[in-house]
Amino acid sequence: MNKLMLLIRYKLKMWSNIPLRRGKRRIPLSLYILILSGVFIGISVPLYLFTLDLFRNYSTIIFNGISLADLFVEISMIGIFVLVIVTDTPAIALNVFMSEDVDFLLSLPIKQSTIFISKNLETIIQGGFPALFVIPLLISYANATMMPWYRIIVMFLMYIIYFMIINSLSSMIALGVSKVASRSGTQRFMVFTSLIVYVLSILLMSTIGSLPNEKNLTEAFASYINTINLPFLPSTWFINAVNLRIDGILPLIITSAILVFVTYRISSSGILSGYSQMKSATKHVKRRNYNLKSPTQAFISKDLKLMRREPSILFLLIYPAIFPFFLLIGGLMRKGEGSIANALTGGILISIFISSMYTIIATASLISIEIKVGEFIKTLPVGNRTPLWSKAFVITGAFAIVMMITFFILSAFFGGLILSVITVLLSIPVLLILSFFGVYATVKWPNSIGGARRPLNTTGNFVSMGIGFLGAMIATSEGLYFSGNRILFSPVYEFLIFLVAPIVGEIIMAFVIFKLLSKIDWANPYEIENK
Amino acid sequence: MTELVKVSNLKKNFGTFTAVKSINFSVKSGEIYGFLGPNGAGKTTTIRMLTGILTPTGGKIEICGLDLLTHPLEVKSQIGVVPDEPKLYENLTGQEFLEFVGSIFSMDKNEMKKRIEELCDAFEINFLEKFIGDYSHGMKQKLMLTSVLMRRPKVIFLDEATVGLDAKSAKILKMLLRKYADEGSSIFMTTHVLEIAEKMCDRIGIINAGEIIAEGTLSDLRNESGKQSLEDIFLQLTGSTDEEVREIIQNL
Ligand SMILES: Nc1ncnc2c1ncn2[C@@H]1O[C@H](COP(=O)(O)OP(=O)(O)OP(=O)(O)O)[C@@H](O)[C@H]1O
Ligand SMILES: [Mg+2]
Repeated sequence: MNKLMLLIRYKLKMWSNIPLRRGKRRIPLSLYILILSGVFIGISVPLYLFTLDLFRNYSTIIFNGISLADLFVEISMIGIFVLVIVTDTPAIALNVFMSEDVDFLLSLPIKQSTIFISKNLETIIQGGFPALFVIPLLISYANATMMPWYRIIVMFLMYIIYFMIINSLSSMIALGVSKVASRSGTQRFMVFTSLIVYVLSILLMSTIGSLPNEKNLTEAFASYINTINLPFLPSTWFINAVNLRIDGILPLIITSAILVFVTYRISSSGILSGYSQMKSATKHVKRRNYNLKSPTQAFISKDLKLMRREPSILFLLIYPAIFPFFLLIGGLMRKGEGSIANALTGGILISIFISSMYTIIATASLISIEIKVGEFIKTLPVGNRTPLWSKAFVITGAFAIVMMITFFILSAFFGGLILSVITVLLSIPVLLILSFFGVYATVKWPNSIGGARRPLNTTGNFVSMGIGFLGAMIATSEGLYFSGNRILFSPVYEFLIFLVAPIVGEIIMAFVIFKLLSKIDWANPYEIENK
Repeated sequence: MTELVKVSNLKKNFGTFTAVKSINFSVKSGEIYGFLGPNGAGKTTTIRMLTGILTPTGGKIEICGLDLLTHPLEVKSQIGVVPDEPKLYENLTGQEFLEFVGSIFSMDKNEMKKRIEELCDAFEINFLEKFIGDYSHGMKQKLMLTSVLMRRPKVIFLDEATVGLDAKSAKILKMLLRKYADEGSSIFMTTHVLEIAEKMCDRIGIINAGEIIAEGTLSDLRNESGKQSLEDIFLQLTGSTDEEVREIIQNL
């Protein structure tokens, strides 16, 4: 226990030391916690208020002994299950079973289970944040259903037990993964599993998306209960347990206990050490062919490979392809006059919006990979700007192509091809500018421990969200203008506000960002202070 | 003989700390220059400035007759750098990495293929199809060496290049460097293995706390200090003697 506290204390120390190394003041841990709680409260209070009404209405709708409110909680529990498994499993695999400092820790006289627990906690602290947002939801559920205090306590206890199930499961999956795959293999494996889970969560979302459909509510409700309220799902146990039913409490506690015990035992009995080493290659040296390109092409082709093999970037690329379909599903459900056309325009715009927001982060990821090998790049006879242009080009191109394909599929069903092409073309300059901002952000606000998954620190994330939003507004306003949807009464104002202003904004943005970029040494973010 | 590397009054500050204090030296064509010094003396900092990774605080660096500051690209296309800690793209395979480097330096395809095959045979490299992220330290080192040596650069900088190499590969590397030097290249290398410096280097510079405190051929250094082995010379110059070391050991 002492050693566990020691490990955790030193990890916290390392985290709070990071700004120090860059020559800045240390952020006191308390301030950090304060900021995080601020974010948490900022999100959970509106969430609480929003869901309170929802639960009040839903708690009166009861079918087969289950209220719609219960069902809603169940869906959220499934959601959080999926979310935590997706985010935690690869994180645990890389952080716990494949991390380099585990090798070091294993050489110390510390029990393996202690290392496992401390590393696991570390991962939860970093990646388990989403699980906290269930708390306001549960409170508002408790409030709306007028739960007595002891049931609220039971509910939160059950939530902790529920979370232990999820965590043990992801640890086990992570362990399995770490046994069969090498480090770089795991990262690619992550893409694969994430994609599967992604498809599953889309299915889930689309079921939620079509929730109360007043006409045949009972019928729909019944089908929900059949699909979601399955007796072997932990989420079902959870809601039963909250309702103080023994067939919920018992399986939840027993499963959790077994899983935690097994995970703990496995982790303590020597499995932690060593992921499968690279098998020694064949003795025979193969004769192979080499493809040579021009220097610029070489950079682009290399960056394409790195992008393709970086799961976190691939992830960002999926979103603009998926969100339009959500909107369309909604539009199809409503079946109202013109709702499909609206949903289509909405889908195109949201896709552009998301692409703009994510271009910055995707470029930042790619740049952070380059910064890691920055010293090597600096010894090459290429200009300082070549690597930057190549990355901006690759990322912008990737988002543009994803949007194009998505819109082609959409327009094959619903028409509107010309609008799609115009909006994609219009958004390309904005994406390019944003991508260059991503370069700047990575150098200005690097997160030295985040790697390619989290290339920016907190400030960087906030600022790029702001800039991304600005860029997204510009791109979508232009798109909106050409979509022919008129919002303002005067065509002149429409022209000025939705076309001229965005273009002027774009030019100013480009100017400012290039100005900023020229001042920094991109390959060496930690050098800035030394100059 | 021409001086391929010429350094005058080179200086580097990190904030208020001076890592390298106004050093001067040169390396001629055909020469292997050994750069020795205690940990933290400024060897890596010097190499990083010479290879365009760090901008010097002051001074002048001329490589192949060109000023590094004003002609960085021309200089970089003539040099090869093997860093102390190879940091490479984890998500590229060894072969993809070599293709990338070959493309950047506009190499001839057939020549590159031939040289890579020779080097792979010499260093027993049989892992080019694997991802670099799965390489051991020595494997990364070998890949980095291949990517540099396949180009036959005019000037080669090596920062503790034998660290991590197995005995045979280290031996081959030493012989290859000698061969390249004899063919007219300049080689600038740091090492902590005094035996390597003794056997391989034509000239030796010793840096301590950012200052070059001795420079010359091995016999120059011997004459100056009156000691025979490079170890004794090194200890004397960096401010400790054999007796002192023995005393420290005894007190431990
Ligand atoms: N980026 C940096 N910021 C601040 N100080 C630095 C930086 N890089 C190096 N130093 C300092 O400069 C000094 C020289 O470091 P350098 O890496 O050149 O030593 P070295 O001679 O290569 O040592 P070793 O034999 O251990 O490799 C050290 O005191 C080091 O702390
Ligand atoms: Mg060094």
